Amino acid sequence: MKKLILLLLLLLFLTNIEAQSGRGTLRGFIADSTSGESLPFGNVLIKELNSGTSTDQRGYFIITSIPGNKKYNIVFSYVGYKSKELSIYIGANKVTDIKIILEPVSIQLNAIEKVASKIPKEKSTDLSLQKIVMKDLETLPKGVEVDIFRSLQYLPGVRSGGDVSAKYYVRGGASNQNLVLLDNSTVYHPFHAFGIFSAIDPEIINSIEFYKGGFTSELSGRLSSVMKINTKDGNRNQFGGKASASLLSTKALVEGPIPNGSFLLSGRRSHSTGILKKFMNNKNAPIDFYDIALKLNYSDDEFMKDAKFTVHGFASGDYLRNNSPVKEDFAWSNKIIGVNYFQISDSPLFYQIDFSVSHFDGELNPHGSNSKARKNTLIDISGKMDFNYVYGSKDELDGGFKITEIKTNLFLENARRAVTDIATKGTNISAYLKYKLLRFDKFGADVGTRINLTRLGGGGSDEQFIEPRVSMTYRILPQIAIKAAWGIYQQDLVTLSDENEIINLFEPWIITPLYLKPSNAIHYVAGIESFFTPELELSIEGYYKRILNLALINEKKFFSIDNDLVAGTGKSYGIEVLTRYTYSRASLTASYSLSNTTNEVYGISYSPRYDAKHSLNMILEVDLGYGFTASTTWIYNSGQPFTQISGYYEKLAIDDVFAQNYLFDSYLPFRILADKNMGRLPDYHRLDFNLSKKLQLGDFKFYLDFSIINVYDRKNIFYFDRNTGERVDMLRFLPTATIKVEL
Amino acid sequence: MKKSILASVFLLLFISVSCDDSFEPKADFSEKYILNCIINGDSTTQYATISKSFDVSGYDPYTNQNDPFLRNMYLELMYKGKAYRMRDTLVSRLGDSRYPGPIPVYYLPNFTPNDGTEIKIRAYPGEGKILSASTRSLNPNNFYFSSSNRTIPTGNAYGSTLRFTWKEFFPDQSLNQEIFFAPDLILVYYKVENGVEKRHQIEFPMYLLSQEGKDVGIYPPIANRISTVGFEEPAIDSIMRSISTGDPNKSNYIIDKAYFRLLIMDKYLATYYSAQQTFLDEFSVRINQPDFTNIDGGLGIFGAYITKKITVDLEKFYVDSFGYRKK
Repeated sequence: MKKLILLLLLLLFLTNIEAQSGRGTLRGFIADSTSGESLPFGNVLIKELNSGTSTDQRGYFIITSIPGNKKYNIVFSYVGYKSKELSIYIGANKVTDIKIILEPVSIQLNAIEKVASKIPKEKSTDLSLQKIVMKDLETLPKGVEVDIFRSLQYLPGVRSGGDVSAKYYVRGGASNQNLVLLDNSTVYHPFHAFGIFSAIDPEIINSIEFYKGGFTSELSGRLSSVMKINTKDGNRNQFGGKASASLLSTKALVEGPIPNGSFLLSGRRSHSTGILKKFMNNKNAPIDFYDIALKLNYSDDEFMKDAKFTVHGFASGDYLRNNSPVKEDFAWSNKIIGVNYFQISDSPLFYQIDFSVSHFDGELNPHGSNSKARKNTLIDISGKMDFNYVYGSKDELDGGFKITEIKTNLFLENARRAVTDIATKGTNISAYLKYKLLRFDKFGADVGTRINLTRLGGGGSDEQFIEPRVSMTYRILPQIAIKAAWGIYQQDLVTLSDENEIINLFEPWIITPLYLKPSNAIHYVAGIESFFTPELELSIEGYYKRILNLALINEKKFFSIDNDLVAGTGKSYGIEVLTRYTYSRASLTASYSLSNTTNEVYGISYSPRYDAKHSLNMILEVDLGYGFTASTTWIYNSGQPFTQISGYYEKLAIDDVFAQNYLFDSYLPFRILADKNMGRLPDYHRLDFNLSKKLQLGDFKFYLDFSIINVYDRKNIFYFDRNTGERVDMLRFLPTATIKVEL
Repeated sequence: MKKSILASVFLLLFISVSCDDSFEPKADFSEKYILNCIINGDSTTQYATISKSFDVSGYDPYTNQNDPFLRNMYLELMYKGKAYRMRDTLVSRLGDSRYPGPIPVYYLPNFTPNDGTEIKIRAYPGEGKILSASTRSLNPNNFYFSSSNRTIPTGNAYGSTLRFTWKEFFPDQSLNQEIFFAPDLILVYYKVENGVEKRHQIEFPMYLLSQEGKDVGIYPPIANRISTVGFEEPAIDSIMRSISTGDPNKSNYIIDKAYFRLLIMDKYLATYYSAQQTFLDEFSVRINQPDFTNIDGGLGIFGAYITKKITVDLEKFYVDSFGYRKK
């Protein structure tokens, strides 16, 4: 078997050498003319060959195996920018480097620049990947502000935590199975205000890659999804600033050039929590939050050719101060600092080195309340290197390694006086290698594996785990491709979160204790992607996900010696349909998912609270001209599971175990619950509307937004309070407005 | 495109109007029986109650008017190969009880199961139903205190920590795992209020934990496989100070004594006691509840316990140091 693999590798190597002769490579970077900011996911089309590619998250692209010694007309395009067509000579056996500057369409124009048709990436194996640029989100209705996590709920297969939470659940996975990477650094608590809003200000974001499953070997650490957020570099050409205010927060951003680079600094702070009462069922929540982001980047061809060095920092904090000696206070914070070094080599090789420190703190100070003290600290120190080599045959070889050291401390005491006091430290060393077979016209494959040499649990025990992953695509017609992916994923870091708590303020992270094996998942994904016409696209995906050793909170932890977590299993499957129709100035996006999720623990099978059988989202966006944009969204989810009441009984209440006569008259009514989550809440649906206006006065650009949330004032149930019989609803009719000024 | 938009709008309106909004917080009511019996190994009489579940028209179970406790049921305890039928009687309820009239109670006099062997209960509430459970009685001779402090402060014998140690002896060591201990140290004191000495008692924590610059008392947990518990002097001092916080008249406080109690429970009673306690912070919303029962065929608890106690004296000089008086 080993000989066969070696033979195959040798064959691939030889055919790659063969494929290079007489052909050339075009490599480049696309940027905005005003700011120098990279333009991710832009299109590059070689007209004569009718083939092309897209820029990556950093704005880079590479096209290999172009017949050499010829001139080609190449079109570079990006939504909202004027397309550029250039005649470029491609030399044989050479790499031609170019930098393309695209000019944004003036916001005063009464037209949308016609962008080049979307280029079907014939062999791309990016199943379940959603690429998002912030322009996509700006026109959507805003709850209070643009929010990246809330915007995810429009994607099929993503379930939100409801109007009062930006937490999201992907294809039946729990919220702690989602990885959020900010410039390749892990953000452990990416939420503000009980999880109502994202802690990452959309103003600093350049692009997002969101993987719903079946992701390939370079991504690791979570079972369900990965969100890679790439922040803006800052304006390389001139100094600028933005300021905006909403009903919740005030924020400002400054950016500008520095010698051989640029900087960006942004800050946001809450100024009023009045609007939160709408989210919190009129409960007064004295929340105070902030977030700060800083990015400095440097690229000097004389000092380090074709390289870019970036330093980034992010800090966020949330405080809930009751200012009362008999009420509890909460505090959460993230602090991240990281460096990235990106290098393009002379051969068609990219490599990147990242190093980051991410620190999370969460604390509950009970003061004189009934709450108990809780404190969680996590320190993540990670270093990694990734490389990407592009062969002349168009095939690619990717590889890398990652070392992560994590230290967690957790102290909590429950009312049963059961104490959890965990201080653990572990190191995970992993490496991956994958081969992307892109040489064939109709077929592409991404085959690789990640090997974990140590696990975090047990202080870095040498328990190895291999995560093989395969992703394939076959284009049966120019407009239709079928895709499939399979992979094994491991997660060795969990939150002690109780899914019975629909608002849970304290979700501490811990390394999976040694009494449990790390959770692992198997993904099976298959789908069809089609572009029937340039205006109409359709994708259908089906998935099956099986999770083993699913770490669930031990509901039977009665004593300090009892384990905090128990191992369960999870299973989810479903089908998702996404279609988008663009006509002139309007576009209609519709997505539907049919899914089923079950978890099993203690021998009992149940649907978790975030299971939704049917989910339908529709987005209609219309450019009205003269800087006006209108959009409307409609979301429908079938009702969430909940546990019904099946009666009451008089429960013996032992207030004092030393008392002698409690059997005679110490009883309190207690609910008898039916089988777990066998009931369903009513369906959820909501219509939102947004009207945006952009205008320019002198050097100032103004962005005005008016939104109405829940236009027809639907009473969507949040939860049913069994104690009072009260039905607590989510957001009712809510008009909001924001204003942003940009210099 | 216009047709598509119009069709979409009509579809949305249709769905928004026609969506099924029915919501039933309650499943069908199914009657269940509840049996409670806790064997007190220090007592010569054992008691039990039996009741049935109920439903109310709304969601407030306090509106239930029908006494769910049942009379004339057949209950029996089985011990050492013999079955003992429990007698039926009525016991007065407290004045603030939600149900009028006395509570039906079952009792078995002159019965002290405390030799460490298995004991079972069985109840026949009718309709062919049987409720049953078993546990192991607790033998006080299996537990005894050893080398424990008897005074506060301790002197030098155990440093600055007041320590209580006990030993357990079981021929079958596996039984250790089924025994739980609930220790506590209680201060008994009197406060002179309007010329009258009013009795108070307060529990000492084991130690103080600093949280955000404030001291939080950590109290003994219910646990098994423990044989000692210590109370640090600073924790004792803090309670001694706290009883008169804000009151300049320290001489109004009369310190009587402290006593260390050790409640020894079987695992069922320990789990039941722990499970009934839960808490949430002000903003968290929990939608399920913990519960525990070991009754086959129904709900409730069948457990066993015994108690051990040591009186601890407080030295006069120590009491005087706080400005209090010694009784």
